[in-house]
Amino acid sequence: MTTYRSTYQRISRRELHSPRSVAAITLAILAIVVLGWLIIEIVSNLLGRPGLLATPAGMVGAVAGISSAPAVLIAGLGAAGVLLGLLLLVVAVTPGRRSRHLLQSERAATIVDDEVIASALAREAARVAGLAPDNARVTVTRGRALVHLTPTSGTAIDQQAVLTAVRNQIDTFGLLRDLRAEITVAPNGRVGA
Amino acid sequence: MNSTNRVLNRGFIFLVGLLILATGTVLALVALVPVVRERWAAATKAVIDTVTRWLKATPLPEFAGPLMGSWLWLLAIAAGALLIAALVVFSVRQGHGHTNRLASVSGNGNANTGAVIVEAKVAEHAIQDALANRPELVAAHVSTYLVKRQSALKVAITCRRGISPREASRIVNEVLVAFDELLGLQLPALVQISGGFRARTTTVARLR
Repeated sequence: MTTYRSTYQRISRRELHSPRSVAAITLAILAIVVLGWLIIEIVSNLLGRPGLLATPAGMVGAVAGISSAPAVLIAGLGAAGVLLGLLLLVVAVTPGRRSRHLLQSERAATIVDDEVIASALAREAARVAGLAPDNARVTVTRGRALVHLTPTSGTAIDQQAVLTAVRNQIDTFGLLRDLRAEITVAPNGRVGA
Repeated sequence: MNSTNRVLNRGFIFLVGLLILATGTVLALVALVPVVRERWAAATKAVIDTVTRWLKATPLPEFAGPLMGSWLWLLAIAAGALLIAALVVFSVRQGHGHTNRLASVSGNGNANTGAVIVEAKVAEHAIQDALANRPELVAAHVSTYLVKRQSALKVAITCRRGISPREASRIVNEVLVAFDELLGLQLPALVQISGGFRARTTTVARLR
Protein backbone atom coordinates (compact mmCIF):
# COMPACT_ATOMS: atom_id res chain seq x y z
CA MET A 1 0.00 0.00 0.00
CA THR A 2 2.80 2.43 0.83
CA THR A 3 4.79 2.08 -2.41
CA TYR A 4 1.98 3.35 -4.58
CA ARG A 5 0.50 5.93 -2.22
CA SER A 6 -0.38 8.52 -4.86
CA THR A 7 -1.74 5.85 -7.22
CA TYR A 8 -4.02 4.57 -4.46
CA GLN A 9 -5.12 8.10 -3.58
CA ARG A 10 -6.01 8.76 -7.20
CA ILE A 11 -7.90 5.47 -7.58
CA SER A 12 -9.89 5.97 -4.36
CA ARG A 13 -10.80 9.56 -5.14
CA ARG A 14 -11.96 8.67 -8.64
CA GLU A 15 -14.01 5.68 -7.46
CA LEU A 16 -15.82 7.75 -4.82
CA HIS A 17 -16.91 10.52 -7.19
CA SER A 18 -18.91 10.60 -10.39
CA PRO A 19 -17.00 11.33 -13.62
CA ARG A 20 -19.99 13.32 -14.98
CA SER A 21 -19.55 11.47 -18.27
CA VAL A 22 -23.25 10.96 -18.93
CA ALA A 23 -24.08 14.66 -18.65
CA ALA A 24 -21.03 15.69 -20.69
CA ILE A 25 -21.67 13.21 -23.51
CA THR A 26 -25.39 14.07 -23.64
CA LEU A 27 -24.57 17.78 -23.98
CA ALA A 28 -21.91 17.02 -26.60
CA ILE A 29 -24.37 14.98 -28.70
CA LEU A 30 -27.03 17.71 -28.46
CA ALA A 31 -24.45 20.33 -29.49
CA ILE A 32 -23.36 18.16 -32.43
CA VAL A 33 -26.98 17.80 -33.61
CA VAL A 34 -27.61 21.56 -33.38
CA LEU A 35 -24.34 22.41 -35.16
CA GLY A 36 -25.06 19.86 -37.89
CA TRP A 37 -28.50 21.32 -38.44
CA LEU A 38 -27.08 24.88 -38.69
CA ILE A 39 -24.49 23.72 -41.23
CA ILE A 40 -27.19 22.03 -43.34
CA GLU A 41 -29.27 25.23 -43.28
CA ILE A 42 -26.27 27.33 -44.33
CA VAL A 43 -25.35 24.97 -47.17
CA SER A 44 -28.90 24.85 -48.54
CA ASN A 45 -29.03 28.62 -48.33
CA LEU A 46 -25.79 28.89 -50.33
CA LEU A 47 -27.21 26.51 -52.95
CA GLY A 48 -30.32 28.64 -53.15
CA ARG A 49 -32.59 25.81 -51.97
CA PRO A 50 -35.22 26.05 -49.21
CA GLY A 51 -33.86 25.02 -45.79
CA LEU A 52 -35.07 22.20 -43.54
CA LEU A 53 -36.78 24.36 -40.94
CA ALA A 54 -35.66 27.96 -41.42
CA THR A 55 -33.23 30.04 -43.45
CA PRO A 56 -30.37 31.84 -41.65
CA ALA A 57 -32.10 35.15 -42.31
CA GLY A 58 -35.32 33.79 -40.84
CA MET A 59 -33.53 32.66 -37.68
CA VAL A 60 -31.88 36.04 -37.17
CA GLY A 61 -35.21 37.73 -37.80
CA ALA A 62 -36.86 35.56 -35.15
CA VAL A 63 -34.19 36.45 -32.59
CA ALA A 64 -34.56 40.14 -33.39
CA GLY A 65 -38.33 39.89 -33.20
CA ILE A 66 -38.58 38.47 -29.69
CA SER A 67 -39.18 41.94 -28.28
CA SER A 68 -42.52 42.06 -30.09
CA ALA A 69 -43.48 38.44 -29.30
CA PRO A 70 -45.85 37.75 -26.36
CA ALA A 71 -43.97 38.60 -23.16
CA VAL A 72 -45.29 35.55 -21.27
CA LEU A 73 -43.88 33.15 -23.85
CA ILE A 74 -40.46 34.79 -23.92
CA ALA A 75 -40.32 35.11 -20.13
CA GLY A 76 -41.23 31.41 -19.82
CA LEU A 77 -38.47 30.42 -22.24
CA GLY A 78 -36.04 32.64 -20.36
CA ALA A 79 -37.00 31.15 -17.00
CA ALA A 80 -36.57 27.62 -18.39
CA GLY A 81 -33.12 28.60 -19.70
CA VAL A 82 -32.10 30.09 -16.36
CA LEU A 83 -33.21 26.94 -14.49
CA LEU A 84 -31.48 24.58 -16.92
CA GLY A 85 -28.31 26.67 -16.85
CA LEU A 86 -28.24 26.73 -13.05
CA LEU A 87 -28.83 22.96 -12.96
CA LEU A 88 -25.86 22.38 -15.27
CA LEU A 89 -23.66 24.69 -13.17
CA VAL A 90 -24.63 22.71 -10.07
CA VAL A 91 -23.82 19.42 -11.85
CA ALA A 92 -20.44 20.84 -12.93
CA VAL A 93 -19.44 22.14 -9.50
CA THR A 94 -20.82 19.68 -6.91
CA PRO A 95 -18.58 16.72 -5.95
CA GLY A 96 -21.10 14.11 -7.14
CA ARG A 97 -20.40 11.58 -4.41
CA ARG A 98 -21.25 7.99 -5.26
CA SER A 99 -22.96 5.94 -2.58
CA ARG A 100 -19.84 3.98 -1.69
CA HIS A 101 -17.46 3.68 1.24
CA LEU A 102 -13.74 3.03 1.54
CA LEU A 103 -12.62 0.01 3.53
CA GLN A 104 -9.31 -0.24 5.34
CA SER A 105 -7.27 -2.95 3.70
CA GLU A 106 -3.70 -4.22 3.79
CA ARG A 107 -3.29 -5.13 0.17
CA ALA A 108 -5.67 -3.14 -2.05
CA ALA A 109 -7.81 -0.02 -2.17
CA THR A 110 -11.22 -1.43 -1.31
CA ILE A 111 -14.50 0.24 -2.21
CA VAL A 112 -17.85 -1.07 -0.97
CA ASP A 113 -21.25 -0.13 -2.31
CA ASP A 114 -23.51 1.21 0.46
CA GLU A 115 -26.02 -1.43 -0.62
CA VAL A 116 -23.66 -4.24 0.47
CA ILE A 117 -23.05 -2.62 3.86
CA ALA A 118 -26.81 -2.17 4.32
CA SER A 119 -27.51 -5.77 3.38
CA ALA A 120 -24.92 -7.11 5.87
CA LEU A 121 -26.26 -4.86 8.66
CA ALA A 122 -29.86 -5.87 7.89
CA ARG A 123 -28.98 -9.53 8.21
CA GLU A 124 -27.26 -8.93 11.58
CA ALA A 125 -30.11 -6.75 12.89
CA ALA A 126 -32.71 -9.32 11.84
CA ARG A 127 -30.73 -12.11 13.49
CA VAL A 128 -30.38 -10.29 16.83
CA ALA A 129 -34.01 -9.07 16.83
CA GLY A 130 -35.29 -12.52 15.91
CA LEU A 131 -37.02 -11.36 12.73
CA ALA A 132 -37.21 -12.67 9.19
CA PRO A 133 -34.55 -10.97 7.00
CA ASP A 134 -37.18 -9.09 5.03
CA ASN A 135 -38.41 -7.25 8.13
CA ALA A 136 -35.16 -5.42 8.75
CA ARG A 137 -34.51 -2.62 6.31
CA VAL A 138 -31.27 -0.61 6.42
CA THR A 139 -30.44 2.62 4.62
CA VAL A 140 -26.79 3.63 4.49
CA THR A 141 -25.87 7.23 3.74
CA ARG A 142 -22.49 8.96 3.87
CA GLY A 143 -22.29 9.11 7.66
CA ARG A 144 -25.25 7.12 8.98
CA ALA A 145 -26.83 3.69 8.96
CA LEU A 146 -30.58 3.80 9.59
CA VAL A 147 -32.04 0.48 10.70
CA HIS A 148 -35.78 0.14 10.32
CA LEU A 149 -37.38 -2.89 11.98
CA THR A 150 -40.92 -4.22 11.62
CA PRO A 151 -41.64 -6.39 14.67
CA THR A 152 -43.87 -9.44 14.86
CA SER A 153 -47.24 -8.34 16.25
CA GLY A 154 -47.41 -8.63 20.03
CA THR A 155 -43.67 -9.02 20.64
CA ALA A 156 -41.17 -6.44 21.76
CA ILE A 157 -37.74 -5.87 20.23
CA ASP A 158 -34.67 -5.34 22.42
CA GLN A 159 -33.57 -2.16 20.65
CA GLN A 160 -30.45 -1.74 22.76
CA ALA A 161 -29.22 -5.23 21.88
CA VAL A 162 -29.84 -4.62 18.17
CA LEU A 163 -28.08 -1.26 18.34
CA THR A 164 -25.05 -2.79 20.05
CA ALA A 165 -24.91 -5.64 17.56
CA VAL A 166 -25.15 -3.27 14.59
CA ARG A 167 -22.45 -1.00 16.07
CA ASN A 168 -20.15 -3.95 16.63
CA GLN A 169 -20.75 -5.14 13.08
CA ILE A 170 -19.90 -1.68 11.70
CA ASP A 171 -16.69 -1.74 13.75
CA THR A 172 -15.65 -5.07 12.25
CA PHE A 173 -16.00 -3.65 8.73
CA GLY A 174 -13.20 -1.16 9.34
CA LEU A 175 -14.67 1.64 7.24
CA LEU A 176 -12.43 4.66 6.74
CA ARG A 177 -15.40 6.92 7.44
CA ASP A 178 -17.33 5.70 10.45
CA LEU A 179 -21.11 5.18 10.31
CA ARG A 180 -23.45 6.25 13.10
CA ALA A 181 -26.16 3.65 13.68
CA GLU A 182 -29.77 4.62 14.39
CA ILE A 183 -32.71 2.32 14.99
CA THR A 184 -36.40 2.89 14.38
CA VAL A 185 -39.09 0.32 15.11
CA ALA A 186 -42.34 0.44 13.19
CA PRO A 187 -45.27 1.31 15.52
CA ASN A 188 -47.44 -1.38 13.94
CA GLY A 189 -46.18 -4.94 13.88
CA ARG A 190 -46.87 -7.49 11.22
CA VAL A 191 -48.60 -10.82 11.83
CA GLY A 192 -46.34 -13.77 11.20
CA ALA A 193 -43.25 -11.66 10.64
CA MET B 1 -9.81 3.83 -12.84
CA ASN B 2 -10.21 4.79 -16.48
CA SER B 3 -8.49 7.75 -18.06
CA THR B 4 -11.57 9.95 -18.51
CA ASN B 5 -10.59 13.60 -18.23
CA ARG B 6 -12.98 14.63 -15.48
CA VAL B 7 -11.82 18.24 -15.29
CA LEU B 8 -12.60 18.62 -18.99
CA ASN B 9 -16.06 17.03 -18.46
CA ARG B 10 -16.89 19.45 -15.69
CA GLY B 11 -15.43 22.41 -17.57
CA PHE B 12 -17.54 21.59 -20.63
CA ILE B 13 -20.73 21.21 -18.56
CA PHE B 14 -19.92 24.48 -16.76
CA LEU B 15 -19.41 26.33 -20.05
CA VAL B 16 -22.65 25.04 -21.60
CA GLY B 17 -24.51 25.83 -18.37
CA LEU B 18 -23.14 29.37 -18.35
CA LEU B 19 -24.15 29.84 -22.00
CA ILE B 20 -27.72 28.60 -21.40
CA LEU B 21 -28.00 30.67 -18.22
CA ALA B 22 -26.88 33.82 -20.05
CA THR B 23 -29.33 33.21 -22.92
CA GLY B 24 -32.17 32.60 -20.48
CA THR B 25 -31.35 35.76 -18.53
CA VAL B 26 -31.32 37.87 -21.70
CA LEU B 27 -34.67 36.42 -22.81
CA ALA B 28 -36.23 37.08 -19.40
CA LEU B 29 -34.87 40.65 -19.33
CA VAL B 30 -36.20 41.39 -22.82
CA ALA B 31 -39.62 40.04 -21.84
CA LEU B 32 -39.92 41.70 -18.44
CA VAL B 33 -38.00 45.01 -18.49
CA PRO B 34 -39.51 47.64 -20.88
CA VAL B 35 -36.23 49.60 -21.24
CA VAL B 36 -34.32 46.49 -22.33
CA ARG B 37 -37.11 45.59 -24.75
CA GLU B 38 -36.85 48.95 -26.53
CA ARG B 39 -33.07 48.76 -26.67
CA TRP B 40 -33.22 45.17 -27.97
CA ALA B 41 -35.00 46.16 -31.20
CA ALA B 42 -32.52 48.96 -31.93
CA ALA B 43 -29.45 46.88 -31.02
CA THR B 44 -30.42 43.85 -33.13
CA LYS B 45 -31.22 46.12 -36.08
CA ALA B 46 -27.75 47.67 -35.88
CA VAL B 47 -26.09 44.24 -35.70
CA ILE B 48 -28.12 42.88 -38.63
CA ASP B 49 -27.26 45.92 -40.74
CA THR B 50 -23.53 45.51 -40.05
CA VAL B 51 -23.52 41.80 -40.79
CA THR B 52 -25.54 42.29 -43.98
CA ARG B 53 -22.97 44.85 -45.15
CA TRP B 54 -20.16 42.36 -44.48
CA LEU B 55 -21.94 39.61 -46.37
CA LYS B 56 -22.58 41.89 -49.36
CA ALA B 57 -18.92 43.00 -49.36
CA THR B 58 -17.60 39.44 -49.53
CA PRO B 59 -19.23 37.74 -52.53
CA LEU B 60 -18.09 34.32 -53.71
CA PRO B 61 -16.04 34.41 -56.94
CA GLU B 62 -17.76 33.49 -60.24
CA PHE B 63 -16.17 30.05 -60.52
CA ALA B 64 -17.76 28.82 -57.25
CA GLY B 65 -20.32 26.91 -59.29
CA PRO B 66 -23.85 26.66 -57.91
CA LEU B 67 -22.92 28.43 -54.65
CA MET B 68 -24.23 31.94 -54.27
CA GLY B 69 -23.62 34.37 -51.43
CA SER B 70 -20.75 35.41 -49.20
CA TRP B 71 -17.63 33.34 -48.58
CA LEU B 72 -18.02 34.20 -44.90
CA TRP B 73 -20.57 31.38 -44.83
CA LEU B 74 -17.83 28.93 -45.82
CA LEU B 75 -15.79 30.12 -42.83
CA ALA B 76 -18.82 29.54 -40.60
CA ILE B 77 -19.25 26.01 -42.00
CA ALA B 78 -15.57 25.23 -41.43
CA ALA B 79 -15.75 26.50 -37.83
CA GLY B 80 -18.87 24.41 -37.22
CA ALA B 81 -17.24 21.29 -38.69
CA LEU B 82 -14.16 21.80 -36.50
CA LEU B 83 -16.31 22.18 -33.41
CA ILE B 84 -18.25 19.00 -34.30
CA ALA B 85 -14.97 17.11 -34.74
CA ALA B 86 -13.74 18.35 -31.36
CA LEU B 87 -16.99 17.28 -29.67
CA VAL B 88 -16.85 13.82 -31.28
CA VAL B 89 -13.26 13.33 -30.09
CA PHE B 90 -14.29 14.55 -26.63
CA SER B 91 -17.14 12.00 -26.43
CA VAL B 92 -15.15 9.08 -27.82
CA ARG B 93 -12.20 9.70 -25.49
CA GLN B 94 -14.28 8.84 -22.40
CA GLY B 95 -13.75 5.66 -20.44
CA HIS B 96 -10.47 4.42 -21.91
CA GLY B 97 -7.35 3.40 -20.03
CA HIS B 98 -7.26 -0.41 -20.29
CA THR B 99 -3.88 -2.01 -20.82
CA ASN B 100 -2.94 -5.53 -21.84
CA ARG B 101 0.53 -5.43 -20.31
CA LEU B 102 0.84 -6.42 -16.66
CA ALA B 103 4.58 -6.03 -16.15
CA SER B 104 7.80 -6.09 -18.12
CA VAL B 105 11.20 -7.00 -16.75
CA SER B 106 14.23 -5.99 -18.78
CA GLY B 107 17.53 -7.86 -18.76
CA ASN B 108 19.35 -5.36 -16.47
CA GLY B 109 21.51 -4.09 -19.33
CA ASN B 110 22.97 -7.52 -19.94
CA ALA B 111 22.75 -8.23 -23.64
CA ASN B 112 22.44 -11.99 -23.14
CA THR B 113 19.31 -11.91 -20.99
CA GLY B 114 16.14 -11.08 -22.83
CA ALA B 115 13.20 -9.05 -21.59
CA VAL B 116 10.15 -10.67 -20.05
CA ILE B 117 6.68 -9.32 -20.71
CA VAL B 118 3.71 -10.50 -18.66
CA GLU B 119 0.33 -9.98 -20.26
CA ALA B 120 -2.64 -8.71 -18.29
CA LYS B 121 -4.64 -11.83 -19.20
CA VAL B 122 -2.39 -13.81 -16.82
CA ALA B 123 -3.63 -11.86 -13.81
CA GLU B 124 -7.19 -11.63 -15.06
CA HIS B 125 -7.57 -15.38 -15.59
CA ALA B 126 -5.67 -16.44 -12.48
CA ILE B 127 -7.59 -14.18 -10.08
CA GLN B 128 -10.95 -14.74 -11.74
CA ASP B 129 -10.54 -18.51 -11.58
CA ALA B 130 -9.49 -18.40 -7.95
CA LEU B 131 -12.59 -16.37 -7.06
CA ALA B 132 -15.00 -18.30 -9.29
CA ASN B 133 -15.74 -21.12 -6.88
CA ARG B 134 -16.19 -19.07 -3.71
CA PRO B 135 -19.79 -19.57 -2.55
CA GLU B 136 -19.93 -16.07 -1.00
CA LEU B 137 -19.52 -14.37 -4.37
CA VAL B 138 -22.00 -14.31 -7.23
CA ALA B 139 -19.53 -13.02 -9.81
CA ALA B 140 -15.98 -11.75 -10.11
CA HIS B 141 -14.45 -9.75 -12.92
CA VAL B 142 -10.82 -8.64 -13.19
CA SER B 143 -9.51 -5.96 -15.54
CA THR B 144 -6.22 -4.08 -15.86
CA TYR B 145 -5.87 -0.32 -16.20
CA LEU B 146 -2.94 2.02 -16.60
CA VAL B 147 -2.92 4.44 -13.65
CA LYS B 148 -0.06 6.94 -13.40
CA ARG B 149 1.92 4.93 -15.99
CA GLN B 150 1.62 1.84 -13.80
CA SER B 151 -0.52 -1.24 -14.44
CA ALA B 152 -3.18 -1.59 -11.77
CA LEU B 153 -5.64 -4.42 -11.22
CA LYS B 154 -9.34 -3.88 -10.72
CA VAL B 155 -11.18 -6.75 -9.07
CA ALA B 156 -14.94 -6.19 -9.19
CA ILE B 157 -16.95 -8.69 -7.21
CA THR B 158 -20.68 -9.14 -6.65
CA CYS B 159 -21.56 -10.50 -3.21
CA ARG B 160 -24.47 -12.58 -2.14
CA ARG B 161 -27.05 -10.84 0.02
CA GLY B 162 -25.98 -10.30 3.63
CA ILE B 163 -22.28 -11.13 3.23
CA SER B 164 -20.07 -8.88 5.35
CA PRO B 165 -17.93 -6.61 3.16
CA ARG B 166 -14.99 -7.32 5.49
CA GLU B 167 -15.33 -11.02 4.72
CA ALA B 168 -15.51 -10.35 0.98
CA SER B 169 -12.48 -8.08 1.18
CA ARG B 170 -10.55 -10.76 3.11
CA ILE B 171 -11.31 -13.40 0.45
CA VAL B 172 -10.09 -11.18 -2.38
CA ASN B 173 -7.01 -10.02 -0.45
CA GLU B 174 -5.98 -13.64 0.12
CA VAL B 175 -6.20 -14.32 -3.59
CA LEU B 176 -4.30 -11.13 -4.41
CA VAL B 177 -1.50 -11.91 -1.98
CA ALA B 178 -1.21 -15.43 -3.43
CA PHE B 179 -1.03 -13.93 -6.92
CA ASP B 180 1.67 -11.45 -5.80
CA GLU B 181 3.77 -14.41 -4.73
CA LEU B 182 3.18 -16.14 -8.05
CA LEU B 183 4.11 -13.03 -10.04
CA GLY B 184 7.00 -12.01 -7.81
CA LEU B 185 5.94 -8.38 -7.50
CA GLN B 186 3.09 -6.39 -6.05
CA LEU B 187 0.89 -4.31 -8.34
CA PRO B 188 -1.55 -1.69 -7.06
CA ALA B 189 -5.06 -3.11 -6.91
CA LEU B 190 -8.61 -1.92 -6.45
CA VAL B 191 -11.29 -4.18 -5.02
CA GLN B 192 -14.82 -3.08 -5.77
CA ILE B 193 -17.51 -4.84 -3.75
CA SER B 194 -21.05 -4.42 -5.01
CA GLY B 195 -24.42 -6.04 -4.47
CA GLY B 196 -26.06 -5.74 -7.84
CA PHE B 197 -29.25 -7.08 -9.34
CA ARG B 198 -28.29 -10.76 -9.32
CA ALA B 199 -27.47 -10.62 -5.61
CA ARG B 200 -30.92 -9.23 -4.89
CA THR B 201 -32.79 -11.84 -6.89
CA THR B 202 -30.98 -14.84 -5.40
CA THR B 203 -33.32 -15.80 -2.60
CA VAL B 204 -32.14 -16.49 0.92
CA ALA B 205 -32.85 -19.91 2.38
CA ARG B 206 -35.38 -19.53 5.18
CA LEU B 207 -35.72 -22.07 7.95
CA ARG B 208 -38.66 -21.93 10.31
